[in-house]
Amino acid sequence: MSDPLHDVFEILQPPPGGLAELQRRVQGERTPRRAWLGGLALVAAAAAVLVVASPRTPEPALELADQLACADPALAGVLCAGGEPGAVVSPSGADRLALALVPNANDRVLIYRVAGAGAPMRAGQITRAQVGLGKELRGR
Amino acid sequence: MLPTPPGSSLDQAGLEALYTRLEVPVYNVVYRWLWDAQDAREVVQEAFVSLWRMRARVRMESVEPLVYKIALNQAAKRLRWRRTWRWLSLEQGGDERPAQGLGADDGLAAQQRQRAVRVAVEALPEALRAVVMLCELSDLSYAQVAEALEIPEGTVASRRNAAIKSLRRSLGRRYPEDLS
Repeated sequence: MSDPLHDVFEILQPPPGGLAELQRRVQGERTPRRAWLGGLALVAAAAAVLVVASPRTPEPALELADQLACADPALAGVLCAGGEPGAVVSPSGADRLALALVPNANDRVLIYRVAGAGAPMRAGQITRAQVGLGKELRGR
Repeated sequence: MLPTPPGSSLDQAGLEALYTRLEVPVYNVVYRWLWDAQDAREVVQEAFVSLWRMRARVRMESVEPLVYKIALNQAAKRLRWRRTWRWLSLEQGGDERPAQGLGADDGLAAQQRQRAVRVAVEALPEALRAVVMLCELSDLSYAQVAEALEIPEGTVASRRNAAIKSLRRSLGRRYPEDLS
């Protein structure tokens, strides 16, 4: 009479090829550092593709300069002529604007600080003119 | 040969040596969870691959209990997943090991025996089953079994005795002649 527990604890042989399979899987493993670097490179490449492929939108400062020029032709004249900083009175006389040239290293770009002295400008879309803006002037 | 992180003494040769030593006992323990040769083999593989991934943090003095711990966790996870899947699909799982080299009657008797063993083992609470399988099928000491299962060493002996008693009772009802 055999012990019934003999069947419970009978030693079974696993399917063959286990060690070779383990070697294959271990060889396929990449070290965590290399995997991390690979992921980082992938993200950087994806970001570069997005930047290159994304449609160009107007620079906010240039957009603002255009809006400003529409709002006040006198100011547009100053900007387009690359004029000297100073006080400008809009033709309507509704507002006084102060211009100050902000130094910058790029000789193709002039940056002005524009300050509204009183009420909002008449075009309406520019209610605060205290914004630094850049506009490429010398190419125009 | 792949590089080993500094501070770890588990290199690829060490892993392979460990696998060669532990494949059969780990497979046998896991098989008593899954009752499927292919699933048990995959769990053994996954346990060793997991060990390889964490080799930088492995302490060699406790690597064997760690292997069993990982394997049992993965077997339990697979079993839960299988039960869920079976509940959803009404599929029956597990395999019946072929009783090779036996005549028709003997083969049938052997299959009945295997089924009875499986019923008896599955009737054990997992806590008892883990202890008795590790004690009987692995070369781990009580202290190592306690480490693998994160229980006190004294609990190992008491659970083992309770499991053996339960198995004897359960199998004795089905094969009373065995207990005479």
